[in-house]
Amino acid sequence: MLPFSTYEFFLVMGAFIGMLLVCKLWLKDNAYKYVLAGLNLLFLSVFFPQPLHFFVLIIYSYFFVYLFSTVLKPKLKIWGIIILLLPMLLVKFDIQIASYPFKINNLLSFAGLSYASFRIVGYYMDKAPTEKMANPFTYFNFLSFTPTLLIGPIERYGRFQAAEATGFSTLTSEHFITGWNALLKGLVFKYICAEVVDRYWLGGLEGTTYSSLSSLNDYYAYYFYLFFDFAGYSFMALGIGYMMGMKVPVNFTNPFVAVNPQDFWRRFHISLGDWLKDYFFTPLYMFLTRKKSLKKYPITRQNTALLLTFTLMGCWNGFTSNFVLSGLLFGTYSLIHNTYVIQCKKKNKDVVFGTMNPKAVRWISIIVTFHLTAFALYVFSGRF
Amino acid sequence: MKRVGLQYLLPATIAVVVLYFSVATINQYCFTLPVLPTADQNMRYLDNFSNNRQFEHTFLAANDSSETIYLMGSSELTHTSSAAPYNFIPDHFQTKVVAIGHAGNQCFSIYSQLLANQDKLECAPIVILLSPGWFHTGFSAGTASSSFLEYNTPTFLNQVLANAPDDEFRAYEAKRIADFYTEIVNPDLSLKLLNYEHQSSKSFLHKGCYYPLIAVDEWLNRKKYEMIGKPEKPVYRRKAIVSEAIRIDWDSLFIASKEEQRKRSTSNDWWIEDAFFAETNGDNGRLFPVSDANNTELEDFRMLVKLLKARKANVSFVIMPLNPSYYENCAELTPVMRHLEKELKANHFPFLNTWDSNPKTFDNGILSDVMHYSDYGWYRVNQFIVNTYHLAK
Repeated sequence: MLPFSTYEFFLVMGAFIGMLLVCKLWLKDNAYKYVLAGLNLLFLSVFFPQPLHFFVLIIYSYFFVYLFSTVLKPKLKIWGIIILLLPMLLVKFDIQIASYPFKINNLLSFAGLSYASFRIVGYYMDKAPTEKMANPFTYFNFLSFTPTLLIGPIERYGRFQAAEATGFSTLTSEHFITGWNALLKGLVFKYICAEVVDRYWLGGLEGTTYSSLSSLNDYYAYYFYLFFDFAGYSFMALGIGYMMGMKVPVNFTNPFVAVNPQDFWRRFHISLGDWLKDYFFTPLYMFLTRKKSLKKYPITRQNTALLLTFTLMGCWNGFTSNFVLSGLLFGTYSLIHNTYVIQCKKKNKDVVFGTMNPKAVRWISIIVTFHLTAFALYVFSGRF
Repeated sequence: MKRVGLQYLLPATIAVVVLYFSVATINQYCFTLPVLPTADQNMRYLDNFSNNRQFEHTFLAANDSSETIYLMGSSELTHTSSAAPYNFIPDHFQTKVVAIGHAGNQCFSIYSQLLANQDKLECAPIVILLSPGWFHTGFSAGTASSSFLEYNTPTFLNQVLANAPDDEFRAYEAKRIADFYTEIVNPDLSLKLLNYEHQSSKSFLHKGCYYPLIAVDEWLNRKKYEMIGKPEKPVYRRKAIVSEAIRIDWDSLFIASKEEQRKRSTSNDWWIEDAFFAETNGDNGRLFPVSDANNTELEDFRMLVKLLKARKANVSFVIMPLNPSYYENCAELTPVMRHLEKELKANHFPFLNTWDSNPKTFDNGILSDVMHYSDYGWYRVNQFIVNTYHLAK
């Protein structure tokens, strides 16, 4: 049983919340992480399809984070990152060895591998060499927390640890109500809105007299479908997380009203945008800044880092042309927008809209961003 | 907590209670079941059961006027011609042949269809075409989930659930479904129940955790069938196969059809039809045999044979060949083919083995391309069926 794949999952989560509430009556706050670890362990070992894969990844990552951050301490963190991402990379590259009839995927792949890998790298990047290794129970909970196991949001270790440390005290009626509302919102998004878009809108013109407009129809429908589906999952994860006493970060806030690509990634899959900014864009930009040959070209440095960051984001979903192309498109949008912002700052005026009414500028920006984003996501869908 | 109870939990409970009492009415007004057409008694080929639900209850039964032989296989059945058994035999004999399958209908899919209808298996005449392609590369991982669902409808899966719960065949079915369960979107309750049954058999802890889920799903499944009505009860007709005084000149058919195949493959010496040979660009193909330990398809085959033996089906098998001139490492698959032969011999099932990995001794012309029978190949199968089931005196 995968998280959110079937109604029984919600029954199991209901039982988990009930168990935590009962434990709150009898146990002290510091026991919370052990109870949570017990529940996560129970879900993984009894309900999760490939528990052994997950356990091996947790042990593998804990060992290599320790090795690279405490023992070897290499100057460049990239070696550690490559080792920690190795299982995911082997799966994404879809390798087939001539002497073996199945693809490597068949052996290594399991649900939630990508999200777990991103969390692991985040922890490794944040960990200072002098800092003690994470508590094994907290680390286990960090990677295997059931509501966010499969589809994120991409948690940060520091934030997770802080939320966990509050113990049973966060199992309050306020948290329950916040969680309940988010869960209902997620259920409506995922099981009503996304389902309606998928059944009645997406591909709705195929085989009709308007089939020439089918691509255009799908262009908009897919954006709405993806949003409701993905945001639905994220809100459900947030809701159940809150009800279990853990603050799960918000992952979507009205992406349809984004005014530029930067703003879009602050609203759509926020945790991925933040992760890429903190662990890829910023280190890459710093690296390029240290290059003497690029010192005189700050815009080139920024734009290079932007383009590579979004290309990586595309590749995260797989190394197929539609994913890479959509990443490149988002990179290009950001690059153009970044150049525009820098030019505006330089010339101290809006180089495109001039003195146009700010409200009108805002509406135009929303419409342009919406269409460009819809196009990039349509490319991402591979439906073209 | 009072606020949570009054404003959130109480309305949710009321909603669930209201839904419980009104679900039948909602279904009655909002959802209508499709009306199935009447099962055509003269149907000779079914691509699957999900598109032919009206044939679910007649599967493995004789038709009104004579016995029916069921021919089960995969892609070869879609290469239709007058020589194919489901055309040739009904055209010449009283006994009918109904073929079921297209690409992907591998051992586990066939096993599951037969297990669902195990009450009708005793003496049921069945011919199973074993394709070597099932036992190499990724195909050896067993029937794909999408193919399985085409043939194993909720009706059939519920019939499996009606079998004795401690049955080893049902346990194998549940285990194999569990292997691909996560690939299935919106699984039917019957699939869920079989998967949970397997999961709960893993340990005492699993049993305890899955028990309430199984209880809820069983109850829902019962409710579902109360609403949509139970499927039609399977027909248990079984007739004696009539031996008719018909003489077929097999030798002439073999010679003529082989000659025809030669004429169709003028562009090569491998007896591959020109149109297909053009697609290969004259290149050789390669097989990717799998060790027995990794060959799930082989395990599925063994269970299929075991089931048919246990249920005393009147079953026979045809082991199909591959073109050894095209597949340069054909001999590497011979050990697997020997396993099949050995298993069939050990269980005393009649079979026709047309596998030959040696290009020098291979019966050229038996295939139209590299893996599907030509008319000549089908005539060889027809002869085998006629002899095995004594259709001709």
